[in-house]
Amino acid sequence: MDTKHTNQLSREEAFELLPWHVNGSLSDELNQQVIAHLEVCPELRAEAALLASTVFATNADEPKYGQVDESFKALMNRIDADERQEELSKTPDRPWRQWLSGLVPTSRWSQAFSAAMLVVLGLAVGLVLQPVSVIDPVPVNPAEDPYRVLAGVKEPLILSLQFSDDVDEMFVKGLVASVVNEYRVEQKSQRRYLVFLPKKTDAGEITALLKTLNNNAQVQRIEIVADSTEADK
Amino acid sequence: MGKQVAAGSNRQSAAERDDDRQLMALVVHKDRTAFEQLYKRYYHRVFQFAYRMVKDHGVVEEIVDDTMFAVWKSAASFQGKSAVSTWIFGIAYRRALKTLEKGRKHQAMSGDNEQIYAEPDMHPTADPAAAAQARDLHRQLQQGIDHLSSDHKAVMMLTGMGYSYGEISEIVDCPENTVKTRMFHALKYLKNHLSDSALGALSNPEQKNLWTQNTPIS
Repeated sequence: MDTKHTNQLSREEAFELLPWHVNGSLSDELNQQVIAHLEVCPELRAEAALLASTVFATNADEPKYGQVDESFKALMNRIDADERQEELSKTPDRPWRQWLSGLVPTSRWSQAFSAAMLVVLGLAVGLVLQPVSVIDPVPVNPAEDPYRVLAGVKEPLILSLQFSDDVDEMFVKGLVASVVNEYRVEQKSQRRYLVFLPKKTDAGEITALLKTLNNNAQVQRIEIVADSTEADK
Repeated sequence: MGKQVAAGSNRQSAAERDDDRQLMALVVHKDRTAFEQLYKRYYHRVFQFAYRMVKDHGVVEEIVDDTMFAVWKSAASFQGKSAVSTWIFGIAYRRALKTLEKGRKHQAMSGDNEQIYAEPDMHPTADPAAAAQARDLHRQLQQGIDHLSSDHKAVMMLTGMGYSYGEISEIVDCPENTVKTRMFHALKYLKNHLSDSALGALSNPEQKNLWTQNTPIS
């Protein structure tokens, strides 16, 4: 049925407005137009029945309200606390705060403090646990005087050897054994080995060993380290 | 569409809307007495809306508190383009959405999703069979509403509370046509959710007389 002649609202428009006809929020004029459609359209009436039941269902479940006075008091306490906080944030900064704020934004102070404490703790732990090394690792250049670089080294002498390719322990032992009789080899990786020489090792043997190592194409770097802890670095 | 819904039709008279505006004007200047009046005007309405959105008494008071705290803090930003009521409900709606978002995470972790539905009061003289059918319809509708998305549920709840679609569009911050579309889809979902017998109850001419009260719009 075409209701356009008697009604400004189309049926579809009336259908759309039905929820607000049911909840009573339509203007009188629109309401009358929706009612006119309802009178002639059973489908619209069925929809209105569903809406009425739905609105009833949405409203049926009443909450257990709190105490309005108590709730208001609690809110005012929160507002007071918030305003006190705002007042505090408005008070002029002390000079050290201003200086610090220039370095680190105030919002990051707690993170910066934590980071600073970690650094201090790290330094303290580092100081306590730091291994006592005799010298720093010294690269060896046998073309120079090997005794010069050995001058500060206390016994036992430990050489750190870095190879350009993967080598096995037997290979390293072969190199060392060709010059010195007493030694110990420790593998750190496929390309890194430590050679421990006892205190009694002759200086001439050491020089010869360094030359032998230096002449080997696979030996990439030779370092003298003070002790095994240092060698682990 | 060009056809306008009467303004301020959520059972709030023009005089009440004016009172709200006057109170807000005072709240902007941090008048605590005016704020208390405004609080007491809206406490139950916001509480009711929040409860119907989240269905959890444990968090409703918090939503009301947060909403009214925001009203106090941002009163100066109220420009008076909308009614005070829709402005406050807009805040409450956003708070409720946030709570629901948090709740979904909590629910997913705890698996706590059981809902107890209120039984409607029937007219004492109602036919027992028809009353049972009506109760079933009511329960199915409540279950269906609970399964709606937050956006659809909000439109449904606000309509139930008597707001016009124009006001709802301001509260949920979307175009009026979107409000109508959401309502259309919400109803479509509910119809699909209802059993044949529940749909049959809708066509029972006695059905609308079974309830002890008519639609109790806040």
